[in-house]
Amino acid sequence: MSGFAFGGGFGVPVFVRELLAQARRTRTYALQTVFLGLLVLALIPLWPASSAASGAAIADQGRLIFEWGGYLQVLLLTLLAPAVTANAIVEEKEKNTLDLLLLTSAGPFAIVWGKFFSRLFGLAFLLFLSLPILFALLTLGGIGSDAILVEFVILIAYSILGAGLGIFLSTILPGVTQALITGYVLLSALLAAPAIAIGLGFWQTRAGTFPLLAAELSPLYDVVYLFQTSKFVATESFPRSWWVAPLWTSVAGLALVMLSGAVLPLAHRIERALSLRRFLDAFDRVVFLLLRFRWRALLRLLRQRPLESDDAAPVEHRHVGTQNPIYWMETCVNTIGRNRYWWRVNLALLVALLASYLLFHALLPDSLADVTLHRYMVATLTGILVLLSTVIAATTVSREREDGTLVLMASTPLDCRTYVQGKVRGIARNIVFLSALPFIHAAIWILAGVIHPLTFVYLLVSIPFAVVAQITQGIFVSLMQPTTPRAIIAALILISFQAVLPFVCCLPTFNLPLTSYYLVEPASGLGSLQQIAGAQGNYLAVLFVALLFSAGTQVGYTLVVYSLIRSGFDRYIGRAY
Amino acid sequence: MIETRYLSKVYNDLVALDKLSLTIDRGDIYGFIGPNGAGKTTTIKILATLLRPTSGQAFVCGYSVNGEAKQIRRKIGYVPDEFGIYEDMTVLEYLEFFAALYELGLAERKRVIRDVLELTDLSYKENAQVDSLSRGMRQRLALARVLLHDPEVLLLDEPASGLDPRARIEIRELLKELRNMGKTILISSHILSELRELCNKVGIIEKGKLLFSGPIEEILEQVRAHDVIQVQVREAPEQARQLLIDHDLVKRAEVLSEDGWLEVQIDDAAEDHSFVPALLVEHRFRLLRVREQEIDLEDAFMKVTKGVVG
Ligand SMILES: Nc1ncnc2c1ncn2[C@@H]1O[C@H](COP(=O)(O)OP(=O)(O)OP(=O)(O)O)[C@@H](O)[C@H]1O
Ligand SMILES: [Mg+2]
Repeated sequence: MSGFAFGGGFGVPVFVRELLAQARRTRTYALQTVFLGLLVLALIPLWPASSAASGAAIADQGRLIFEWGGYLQVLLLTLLAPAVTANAIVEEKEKNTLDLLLLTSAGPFAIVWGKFFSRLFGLAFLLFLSLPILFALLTLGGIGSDAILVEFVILIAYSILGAGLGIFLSTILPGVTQALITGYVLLSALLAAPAIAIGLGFWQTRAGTFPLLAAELSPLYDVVYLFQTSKFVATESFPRSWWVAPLWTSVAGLALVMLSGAVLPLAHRIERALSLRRFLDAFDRVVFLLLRFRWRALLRLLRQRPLESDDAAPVEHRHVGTQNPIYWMETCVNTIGRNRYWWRVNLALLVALLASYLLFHALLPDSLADVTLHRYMVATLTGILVLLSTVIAATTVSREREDGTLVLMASTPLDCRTYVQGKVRGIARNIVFLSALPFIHAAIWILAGVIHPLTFVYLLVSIPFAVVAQITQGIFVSLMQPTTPRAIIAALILISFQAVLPFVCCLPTFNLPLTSYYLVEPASGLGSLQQIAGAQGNYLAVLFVALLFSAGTQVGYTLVVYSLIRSGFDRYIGRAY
Repeated sequence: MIETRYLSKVYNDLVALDKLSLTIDRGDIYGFIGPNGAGKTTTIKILATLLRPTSGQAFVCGYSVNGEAKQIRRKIGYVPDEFGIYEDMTVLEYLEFFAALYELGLAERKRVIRDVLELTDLSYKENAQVDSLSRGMRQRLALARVLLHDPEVLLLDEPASGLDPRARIEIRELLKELRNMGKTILISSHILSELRELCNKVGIIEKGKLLFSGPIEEILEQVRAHDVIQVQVREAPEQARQLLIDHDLVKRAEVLSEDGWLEVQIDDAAEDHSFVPALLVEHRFRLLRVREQEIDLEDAFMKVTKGVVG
């Protein structure tokens, strides 16, 4: 049985084929460069200047670099593992080569193992590449080679989980984008699970300490455990149970690959069962029943079978009219615009937002009256907004290219302005409700007298510009990248880069969640603004300048990106001139 | 309407087009024939301003592709060799979308869409989803799309590939209608028989080189074997053969079939073949028919690409 489960020699033929295909791709090398580059870039500011005095200070610095390098590698793996695996099986399904592969003597397990190991090999190779940097740290002192090895094991085990999860999602989900996003959500949830549990008060801990369970559960916390051992178990100086997280993550990763092999022959059926449409259809029915409870309608709905109702839906013609045709396409036909259920998803988000108040009220009774919580909330909401607007924009053009419709547009007189304007307006309109969530939240708590009314002014000025800037940037990335996964990855790298900008230079405006965090003000007075302005400073003037600066940089950035788009527009959409 | 001068396209080190010069006049239906990888798509893409030539010039409607691409896009309708898929869009919406891209006014749009749907026989499908159409219907829809802005030139890349015979005939009839509307059409294909009826000019291309370009009769004339004729006599073909073979100007004579057909090869010294029927009649053979050897585009294509004709 186990021989069968591992397939023909762990899927060596598939592995070799995949590996060769990867070696031929420039993407592989680009990824390695980006990975190392980011690692080095992030660590440079921490590297001790040669003039630094005491050896102990240098050793501390070495330890700090190593620690932050570890966090960064966990985050980069979170970004990369789904990215390199999401298309593994989806690609075969889309090209209809899966059935051919299954017919060969290799069998489903050989396929998934081959794909898994080739991906894992790539990730492990990245980790190996970073080893020299880490060993260079040994020269600074402060850490031992055993810590480096432990960290390495944690990271490798996490890669196994990431790659295994990616392969599994690629097997059961219908599209690369879905597999990618689900992968990101699940891995981030795993990493952040302890923080959420502690934040919501499920785990009671003394301030500044963590339960050991956190390190056993989340690889990120396991790295924390490695460096700040005493915060987990006061009596330990070197983590004794560091191995729990690596053990379960690697086992879980391998189990997921095994599971993928088992369900691979059913991939197409699972894919259909899991399709978004079905889910939204079901959601739609529930909402419909809740909103307009009528017996006859209920009976009719119950009698209908899901697919039939779809076919029988009356055709309503969506006129282009005098609209910008690209805007029409984006709002009536494309991804989200096409989705008749989108407003219901928005409704669900609103309900979730309101429900979260109840949750906070139940778990942490005083937190709702504290501005800190609202800072987190607004930062989270704007973070989701930034992420979604970029990702939605990043998929829009490459999708057209993959469908072969871009070339049709390229042969028409369509110009850059119409195109970009239509896209930006269309995407903005699709996420308009999402953009409204921070406002809704702020409005509620301004009325409740917890946050300052000026917060609303801040949101009013910063969010629209930031959203337009993000969308424009996403379109730019999408125009430049030939495929959807590449566009998504490029957009995420760009966002990550912008997110760290405030830490390396004075460009906080490019990190909307961060600025939101600081500029949500308590109703009792202007807290952080007052700090910035100093005791006697005029904080209204500071606010004004900050808003102007924020809006100005976003507008400037949008214009720069737009001019970049315009200068290469014809080339990007496949025209010669 | 279309003119290329020494048009070349090089991909890395592969010469896809080699100094292609051709002229297509207003109202021509130009059949572009060549085996796979000959450079047909490359040429059409250059003319549709989607690909930049490595060297050389091309003009469409008097505009150069180098620098006047915008004007060209308004004058041409381009059907690529692949049909782009739009999910969840009806035929009517598809056409409206492209009409809007071509900046047609609302009233005009409505009229034009009705016209092209009627022309392409798709009116009854106007509410169908585009991705549910059959291949033949998709091709007709693609033609409907490029007719929206009433272009002068149509660039069609293998519009009939992958279609069943019936759908091919439908497309051919449609193209004939367009010909009657006075459009200039460049159509690439490797199904030669359908070009014969449709086109008045053909170009034969292989490995990026234009081997022949001109009126269809001309190429047929060129490859036609002038020195071979066929005659049919009422009876005694064997005697007729004997008689012909003894003639000085006859190189070869064979009986082709039971019903009296003979094939006669004439010496180059003969002025024409008129002496053959004369001779037979003189010897009281009852002559039924005289014909030159049948030759079609397929043979011409084979001969030209084999280098028989320069
Ligand atoms: N983007 C490209 N990069 C490199 N080579 C290319 C590219 N596009 C086409 N070619 C090459 O140029 C040559 C001409 O290709 P083209 O597509 O024009 O042929 P075609 O006549 O349209 O063939 P078919 O009948 O198969 O459609 C081929 O050898 C092809 O391999
Ligand atoms: Mg072609």
